[in-house]
Order: sequence, then C-alpha cells, then structure tokens
Amino acid sequence: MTGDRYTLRRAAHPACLADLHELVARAGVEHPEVSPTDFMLLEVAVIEVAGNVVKHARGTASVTFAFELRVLPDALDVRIEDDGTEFTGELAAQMPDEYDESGRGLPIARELLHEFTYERAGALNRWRLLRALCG
Amino acid sequence: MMITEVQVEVDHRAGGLAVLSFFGRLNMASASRLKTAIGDAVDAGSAKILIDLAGTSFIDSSGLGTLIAGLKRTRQAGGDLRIARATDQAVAVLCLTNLDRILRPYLSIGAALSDW
Repeated sequence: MTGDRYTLRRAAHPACLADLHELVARAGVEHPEVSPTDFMLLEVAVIEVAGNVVKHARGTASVTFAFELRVLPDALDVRIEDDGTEFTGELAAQMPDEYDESGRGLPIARELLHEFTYERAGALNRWRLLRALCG
Repeated sequence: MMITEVQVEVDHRAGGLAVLSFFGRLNMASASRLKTAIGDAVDAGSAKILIDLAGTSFIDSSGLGTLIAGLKRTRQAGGDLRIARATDQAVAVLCLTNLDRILRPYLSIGAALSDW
C-alpha cells in the first residue's frame, strides 16, 4: 500500500539502521515523482542522524527511537525522536580535516538538508530533517 | 526485514598489491569488517590496497572513517590505498566531505592499477 507517511519505532541498535534503509528505499519506490537523488541524499542524512542516536545509546540500558518520514509535494520531512540522554554536541560542527577518521556524520547531514534542528523536549531528543524538493 | 549480507573478498596479487571487494552497506555496523580486512592484508605483505566499491551499496561516515584509517595504515607500511568503481552515493559523500581529494574515485580497477 502506498502512502505519504512512513513510520518506524525500534530499539536504538546498529541492526535497526537496516530497517531505516529499507523504509526510505520503499518510500522512494512508491514516490517515483520525487527524484531518486533526493531520496538517496535524504537517506544519507537520516542514517547519519540515526547512527548518531545509536552511537550515543551504546552502554545505556535501552533507548528507543521513533522515525517518521512524510513525503510532501515540496519536501521530504523527517522527524526522529529518541529517549536517550541529551545530545550535547554541536549541530553546526564543521567538517573535520581530511585525515580525521570521525566527526563527519552531522556535518554531512547538515549539508544535505534545508532544515536541520534539534531540541530537548522533556525526556526526549527531537530531530527534524527537511530536504526541500527542487522539482 | 531484509537482511543485507556483508562480505569482503580479498585478492592478493603480485607486487604487494591486494584488491579488496566490499559487498553490502559500509556503515557503523560493518565498518570493522573492512578495517580488519585491510589490517590483515597489510600484515600479509600487501601495503598497496585497492578497495573495489562496485558492490558497496551505501557508505556512511563510519565507512569513510574506515577508508581514511586504511589509507593511513597502508601509507605507514610504505604503500597506499585507492578506491575504484564507487557508486553515485559513495561519490556524493566523498565529494561532500572533500575526501575525493585524498581518495580519488577511480572509474575502473584497470585505471586504479595502471600506474601501480
């Protein structure tokens, strides 16, 4: 069944990233009117942010994240919520030097999105990722 | 849920060269597999390593970090690391991060090996 809204709720574990890949891929197949490049670049941003959630959930008892993608006429709109510890990193961090082995995840996401925000709401981390469609 | 099998194939060639083919998604769940394979190849005497990315369906920042670590590892051993046949997604993230300057994505294995 096709639809404009795709959701997923999982324990924040590296294995759950495969489910996110599949969900974004399915949305792309079901929305041929959207450029595959837009879905591909959104997928990159989504995996980087979700990967960040998973990475920071390591060593904690149980962190759950909820994912929602809405395919709008003019944008791909993603919200990710997780109940892990508060994100204290820098959303506006610069791309690291070429020979650094880490620190590229959120800078990559920021480059690919037209809106990228984070807020702490009670016990939840809320991320919003929006990629505007040019077509 | 679709299971995506990750696989690394290693082809040791003459002249201290190895071609490593990575199949699947190169991400935080699988990057250690490639890092281990690169380390093992260097330890086995292959300091020149070509990573064939034709079967690598997706690369995230963890995967990029592993390629950089491999680049440094091979250079410390007197060799180098190159990549070939990257998909559009891989090329996009390489360019976005400016890593295409130090990891030039060769179009073919032959082109990558031509002056090695």
